[in-house]
Amino acid sequence: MAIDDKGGAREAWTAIAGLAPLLVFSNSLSSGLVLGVAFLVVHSTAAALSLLLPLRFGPARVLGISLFGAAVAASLSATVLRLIDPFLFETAYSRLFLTVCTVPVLRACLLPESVAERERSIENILRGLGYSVVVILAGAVREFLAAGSISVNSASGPASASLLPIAAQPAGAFILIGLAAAAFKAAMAAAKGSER
Amino acid sequence: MSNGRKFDSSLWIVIAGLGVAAILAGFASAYSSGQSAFFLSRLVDTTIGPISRRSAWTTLREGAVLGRAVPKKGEAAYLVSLRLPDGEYRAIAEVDGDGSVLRVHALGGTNSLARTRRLGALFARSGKSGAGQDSTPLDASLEPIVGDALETITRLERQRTEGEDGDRR
Amino acid sequence: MSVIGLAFYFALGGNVLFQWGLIPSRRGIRSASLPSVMAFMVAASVGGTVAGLVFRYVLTPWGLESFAPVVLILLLLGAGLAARAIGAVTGKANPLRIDDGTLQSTLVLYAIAIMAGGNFSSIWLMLGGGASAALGYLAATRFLDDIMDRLDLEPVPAPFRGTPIRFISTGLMALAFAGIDASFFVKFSG
Repeated sequence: MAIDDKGGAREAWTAIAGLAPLLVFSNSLSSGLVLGVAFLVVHSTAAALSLLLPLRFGPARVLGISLFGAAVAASLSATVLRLIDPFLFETAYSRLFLTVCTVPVLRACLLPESVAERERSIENILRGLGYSVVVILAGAVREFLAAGSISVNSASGPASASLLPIAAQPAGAFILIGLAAAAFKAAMAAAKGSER
Repeated sequence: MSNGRKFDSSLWIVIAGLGVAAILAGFASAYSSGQSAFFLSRLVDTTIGPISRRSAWTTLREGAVLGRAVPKKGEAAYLVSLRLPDGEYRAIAEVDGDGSVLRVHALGGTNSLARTRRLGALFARSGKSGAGQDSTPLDASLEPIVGDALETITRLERQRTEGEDGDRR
Repeated sequence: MSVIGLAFYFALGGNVLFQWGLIPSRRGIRSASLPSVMAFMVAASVGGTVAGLVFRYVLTPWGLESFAPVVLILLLLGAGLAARAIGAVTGKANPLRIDDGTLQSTLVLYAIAIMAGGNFSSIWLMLGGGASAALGYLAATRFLDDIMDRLDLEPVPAPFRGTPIRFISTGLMALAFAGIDASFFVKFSG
C-alpha cells in the first residue's frame, strides 16, 4: 500500500477538503451537532479498529474491516438520531451516511504500518475530536451569521433579524471556509514573523 | 483485495463480531423506523384532530413528500418537507379523494429566513380554504417548488385511491 | 422533472461539487482520459441505480433506512473486489494503492449513490441522475482548475494563495450556479 502525501501543507489541505462535505451541510447548530457527533463516532471507530487489528491481517483486510465497522457506527448514529428527532433524521440522513466515506475517515481506516505510525494513530483518534468540534462550531457560526441567533432546536423560533442569509447556503460555506483559512494563514505568518 | 494469506481464527472472530454488530444495527434500525412512524402519525393526528383520529403511517420520500397518514375513516394527510438550499419548511396537507389539497397545517421551518417563511406562506394558501393574493419578488422562484409538491401529492393520492378501488374489485 | 431537465439541473444548481461540498483536493482532471471519464460516469450511473433500488425497494419497506451505510459499504467493497478479480484475470492486477484521487473518487461515487436513493423512484431517473451528477462534478472540477490556473497569473494577496482562494472561488461559482436551481427546471420541464 502507498499513500501519496507531500508534507504538512498537503495534509492540512486534505483535512479541510475532506471535511468540506460536512462543513457545507452544517448550517445550523442542530445540524452541526448531528454531523459533528456522528463524525466523531464514525472516525473513532475506524481509527480504533485500524489501530487494534493485528498487522498480520494485511492492509486490504484492515481497510475492509475498519470501513465496515465505520459503516455500522454510522448506522447506529443514524438510528439514535431517528429516535431523538425523526424530522432531523429526514433532513440529515444523507450527509450522516456520507461521514463513512469522508477523506479523514477513509484515511483513519488505513493500517498504520510502522510502530511510529501506530503511536501516531492515537493522535489520529484525538484529531477526530478536533474535526467534530470544527463541524459543530461551523454550524453555530453560520446559523448566527444567517439568522442572528443560535438555537439547538431544529425547528425555528420567532422571526429574528437576518444578518447575512448567504451564510446558510453552500456558497456562503465555501466563502467562509476560505476566509477562515486565509485568516489562519495570516495569523500563522504573523506568529512566525514575531518569533524572528 | 486478498493478499493470499491463510485465514486465521482471530480474523474469523473479528468478522463474526462485526456480523453480530451489523445484525444488532439492523434490528435497531427497524425499531427506530417503527418509533418514527408512531411519532409522525401521532403528530398528524394531533395536529388535524379530532382526538380520536388514529392513522396508519407510510413513508414515501417522493420529492417533497415525506409520507402519508391514512385514518380508517376520513381524509388522508401528507407530511411535506419543502427544501431550499438554506433550510426547509414542513407542513401537513389534508387531501380529498381526487388528491386536491383541502387544508394545510403549518409545522414551521428550520429557520426564520425570509425565503423559508415565504415558502410556508405560499404553501399554506394552496389549500382550498387558503386565502391571500399578495405577492413578493421571491414568489417566482418559490411557486414552482410549491406547484411540484402539490402535483406530487395529487399523483400519490390518486395512485392510492386507485389501488384501493382495485383491491375492492 | 424529466431526465433532460435532471441532466441540466445536476450540471448547474444541483451540482454535487457545490451542493455537497465534494471539492477535489488537487488539480488533475485535465489528465483524465476519455475512457476513465466514461468509466466514472458508468460507475456513478450503475452504482447510483443499484443503491437507489436497494434503498427504496428493500431497505425502506423493512424500516432499515438507517442500515443503508452498511449495505452501501458492502456494495462498494464488493465492487472493489470485483474490479481486482477482473484485473487479476486480465493480468492487470495492481497492488492496493490509495491516494487522494482514489479517496475523492470513492467519496463522490458514494455520495451519488446516497443521493440517487433518496431522491428518485424511477429507474430511468436513477440511471440518468447518477450519470449526469458524475458529469456535472467532472465539468465543475474542470472549471475550477481553469479558474485556479488563471488566478496563478494574478497578484493574489499572500494569505489568500492556495487553499483559501480555491475555496472562495468555489463559493463564487456555487453562488452563480445556485441562481439556476431546481425551481427553474421544474418550470422549464413542466
